[in-house]
Amino acid sequence: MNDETRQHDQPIQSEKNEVSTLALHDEAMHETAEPFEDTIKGPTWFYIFVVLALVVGAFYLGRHMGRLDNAAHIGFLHDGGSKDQAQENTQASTVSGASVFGSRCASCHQANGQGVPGAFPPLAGAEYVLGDPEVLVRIVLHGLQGEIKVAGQTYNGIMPPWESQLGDEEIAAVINHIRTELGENQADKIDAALVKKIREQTKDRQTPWTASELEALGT
Amino acid sequence: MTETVASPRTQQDSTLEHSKIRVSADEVAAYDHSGRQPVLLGFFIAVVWLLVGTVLGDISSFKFDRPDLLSEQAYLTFGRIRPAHLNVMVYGWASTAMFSISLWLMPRLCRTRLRWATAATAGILIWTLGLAVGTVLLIAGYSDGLEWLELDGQWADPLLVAGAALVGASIWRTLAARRVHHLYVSVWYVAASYPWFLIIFIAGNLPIYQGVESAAVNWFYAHNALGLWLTTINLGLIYYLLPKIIGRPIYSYWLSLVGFWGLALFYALNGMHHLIGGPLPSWMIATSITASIMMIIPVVAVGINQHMTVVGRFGAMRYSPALTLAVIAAMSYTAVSLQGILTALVSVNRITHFTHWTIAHSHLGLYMFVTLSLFGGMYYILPRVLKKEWPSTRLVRAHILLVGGGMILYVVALGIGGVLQGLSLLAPSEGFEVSVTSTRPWLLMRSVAAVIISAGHIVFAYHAYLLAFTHRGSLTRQPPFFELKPVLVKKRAP
Repeated sequence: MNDETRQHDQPIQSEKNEVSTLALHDEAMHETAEPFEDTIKGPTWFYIFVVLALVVGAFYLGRHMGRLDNAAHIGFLHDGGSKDQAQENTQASTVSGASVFGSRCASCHQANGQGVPGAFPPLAGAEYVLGDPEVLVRIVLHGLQGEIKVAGQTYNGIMPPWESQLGDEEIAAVINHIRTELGENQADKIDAALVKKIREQTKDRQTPWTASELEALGT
Repeated sequence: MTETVASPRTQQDSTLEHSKIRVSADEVAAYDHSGRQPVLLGFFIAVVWLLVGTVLGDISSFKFDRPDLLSEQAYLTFGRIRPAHLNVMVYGWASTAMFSISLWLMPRLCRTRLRWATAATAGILIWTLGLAVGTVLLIAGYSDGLEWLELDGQWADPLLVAGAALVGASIWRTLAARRVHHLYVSVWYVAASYPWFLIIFIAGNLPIYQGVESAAVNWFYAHNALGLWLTTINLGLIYYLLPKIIGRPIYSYWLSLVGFWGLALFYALNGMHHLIGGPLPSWMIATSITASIMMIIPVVAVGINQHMTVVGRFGAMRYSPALTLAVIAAMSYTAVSLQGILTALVSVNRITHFTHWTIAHSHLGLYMFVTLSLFGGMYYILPRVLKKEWPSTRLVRAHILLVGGGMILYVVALGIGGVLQGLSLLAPSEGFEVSVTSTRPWLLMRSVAAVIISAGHIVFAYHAYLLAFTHRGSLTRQPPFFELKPVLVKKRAP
């Protein structure tokens, strides 16, 4: 390397601040110059792009922000998606059972109502779903706990109460949904008055139901 | 050869035209020497943690293929091994190596020796002790239970805070003693990272949050740990390595400004996009998605800036492993950020949330960007601090090919598997089990990739051992790729 390297000990001709790659190697033996910044403004399209991005961002935020309170987000499900509208939709008299099911039930019982083997019982083809609606309303209102046998399999888990989260209309809608839409399920529909009646009857209940309590009710 | 202008001795001298500042090799060597102790200590500890984290990651991955593997003892179960892998990699490998990199960069960029080097050394040791305590407690079953914040709040976190504060004090004391007028872009990133990290880490660990608040603060922290700590120091390093190795200035000071302040402004609001669909107020989710979309501004700015700095000189990557890794890391930063913006959109998030897509995304960020950038930094920094060259060209090549190839396989396989899993989860006609079984071949590919990457880590650790603890390096007078004949250069100096 001796003779070759010597040659480069003189300053190297550079073009537009570019040191040749060869010089780079020679200098790598020691140190190249410390880096610095050029003051080129950058391409114009980038600054146009920045403005466009800000406009898109402002539009998105304005459309979806909703109110500045601590009410829970329901999801950008509807056109115009603001929270007020979403809330109105769920409170209107035509509540969609499918939408309540999708947001409250499907995470455990799955979108198709088949449940998760060993963890969450299925709703499709389940005796509790297709049987006495009064029992089913009680389960949705107060939840369910402990060992339970569904479609020939034993489960031991806990289902939360929905008493305070869902209104009578919503509970009636979701019950009608699971009784008629999931799998082969075909059972009679119920109305909100039944939910209201049972809610009144069981308003003192604090704990989830157990399978044996529900058996006792049925007989 | 670098004596065109005498090196600046005072603040006034440094107001010279920035491009004319030339620093002599001796002077730079003196800066490197001032931080030698903490820099080498940090790198040593980082490589040890890298190997520990690799084993933990491999076990976690294998458990997906064989769920009954190593499940007899509680401390070997997935719920403990996997968070241990995350914490060891983030706080052990990446953060400790980043301490060293910042302690090496600051004296050079501030043109002064490192101040309070002993405090920095003590900081690294205290940090490591805290992490060791936290990891042992984690494996033993004592976890704070929040992702990225699992380390014990009572025994581990105070040590981590003290350690980072001591290193940060050394960084800021050096900054205060600077002998330059103009602060180079890397300084902004490195110096800002320390207060940012301390703020988010303390805020994230305060034991005062409950329920939804806790989830919100959890993701505020976890996202910012990436954005205001891991990303910033590595961007600072890449901003230093690219122009330094290529011998060209950074393309545009203005784009640097947009990149830095855009990141500072928008990144801090991004965290809630991890909770889309969760019971948070709409304005929190919407603000976060908006800020995620806005991240396109700093990302494109940094992307243009770094690309235009290197463009036309990509061939130089053949002669510098540090440059190769820095360029791949810079490209990965752009890629992972664009992927992140895409994933934050509600329509995409519906499919990818709760799937392996997220794991692929985080490895694209933490590995292809952060870890490769750290490897590049070590390839560049260690020879200068140790005054020895990496002994083997073959080992460097093997390392880069193994980790690069392995990680591409990892990200592609898990990315595809994640989307298929997400689509299966959404399909009403398919049961939950279908979504689980559909991911199995992709998870197997992930394990294969994990083995390849682990081999790369072993090669790197062995090579670093050869460099630091044997005399083989001192026989090599040239950088490992020096003997290759450059083909790019048409015209040579007379």
